[in-house]
Amino acid sequence: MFGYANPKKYKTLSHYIFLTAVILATLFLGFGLYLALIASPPDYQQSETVRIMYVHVPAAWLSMFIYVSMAVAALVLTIWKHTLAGFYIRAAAPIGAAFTAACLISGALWGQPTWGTWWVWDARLTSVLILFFLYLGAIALNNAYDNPDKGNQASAWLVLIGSVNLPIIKFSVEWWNTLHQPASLTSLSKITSPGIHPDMLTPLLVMAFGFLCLYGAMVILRLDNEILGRKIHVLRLRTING
Amino acid sequence: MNHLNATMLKDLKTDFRHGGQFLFLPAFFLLIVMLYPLGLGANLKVLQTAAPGLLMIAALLASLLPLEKLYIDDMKDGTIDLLMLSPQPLSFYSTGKILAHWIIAGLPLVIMSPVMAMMMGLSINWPDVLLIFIPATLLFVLIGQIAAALSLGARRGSVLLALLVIPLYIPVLIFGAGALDLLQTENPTKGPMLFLWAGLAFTLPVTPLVTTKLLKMQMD
Repeated sequence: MFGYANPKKYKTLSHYIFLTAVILATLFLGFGLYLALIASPPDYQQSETVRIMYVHVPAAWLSMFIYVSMAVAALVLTIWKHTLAGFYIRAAAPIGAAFTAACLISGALWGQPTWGTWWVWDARLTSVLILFFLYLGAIALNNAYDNPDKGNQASAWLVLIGSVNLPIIKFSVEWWNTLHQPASLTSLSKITSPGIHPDMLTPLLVMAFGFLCLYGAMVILRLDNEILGRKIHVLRLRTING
Repeated sequence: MNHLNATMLKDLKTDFRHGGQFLFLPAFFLLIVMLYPLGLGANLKVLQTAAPGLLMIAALLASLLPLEKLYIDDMKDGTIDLLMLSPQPLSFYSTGKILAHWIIAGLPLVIMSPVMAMMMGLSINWPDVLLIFIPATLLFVLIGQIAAALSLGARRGSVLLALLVIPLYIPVLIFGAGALDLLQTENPTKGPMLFLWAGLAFTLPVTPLVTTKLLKMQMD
């Protein structure tokens, strides 16, 4: 499996993954959007605003998934020094940050009509905001070094430290900081509600898979760009040094 | 062990002879605490309810200040390079750095903390305040060490450092403020305080190893 850590070998594979991801993303997002916006029923409490959930929840899931995948890549980079893992962190972090931002913004748009406020300092919201800042830290560290390899390594360490810290942050926020919060808002939260009707679950899962494929396609595009960018960097250094 | 002592003494001496952060940081701590009644109004009831969080935030901000300069001088004058060539393990050096850092930037805040708690109207015994601020400042120092080593060779180090370190400080803030808060209720509980000590027990042995790794990475 580590054979594909070689950028050249990876290239032979990435093209096919990219094509499959694009096709699957188009199919699933198209079908999912039809289900979510037209076919699925409005909620009896939230009426039409429930449709925001079909974007909000997949974005939230992806924001977590991408961070975990970055942590795995960080582990691979620090242990086996595979450069591709460093490229992956560099490629995935901005996409992860974008999904986290999408999750926060769509959540605010949903919260306004449902909760009557754009933002509450609820534990879940706060921990997603913290996740967003961890992403920003990784991006900033990636670009803060003159030597891009060092930026990747530093960023990998930050992601690793963050992945140890993220559960602590999450539980400290959820268990300890909610003491002072009105509990009525969290009980409204759509995920904790007992069960979800199949008419709504199906579009949600279809959308989630579509988002995952979309992420796969985007990350492979960015990864290819990173590899090309590094090649250009090396060629430039060669011409400078004669 | 000589290595550790030498590093610690060197850092302490440099700080004392430069007119020291060990005096400046408590002053900064006091300044921030002074801002609260000016910003929130001098109503002691309001201050009292917010005091646990506000005190921890003041300590957190004061802990941010010394991080940037932590390793820069040692890197620029070649100390770290020399140490990496020496047969001594680098973790002695970073442990010495941690101890000196806490004596300069943590201990003064700990000493100040009962006074600050009193000024904010908290009704907590001073030994308890110390028992909360000792692990809290130590955790600020340890996490700050990691972040400082992480952003050592980076451009725009100081802004970056704040961006990296503040999210990592959040659990310390929550447990510290929670500990102060729960100790002034009618049934004082020590749960959050014990969490702070538990966090310290985990972070203390790990930090020198992680900073050593990071320094080696930076020096490549």
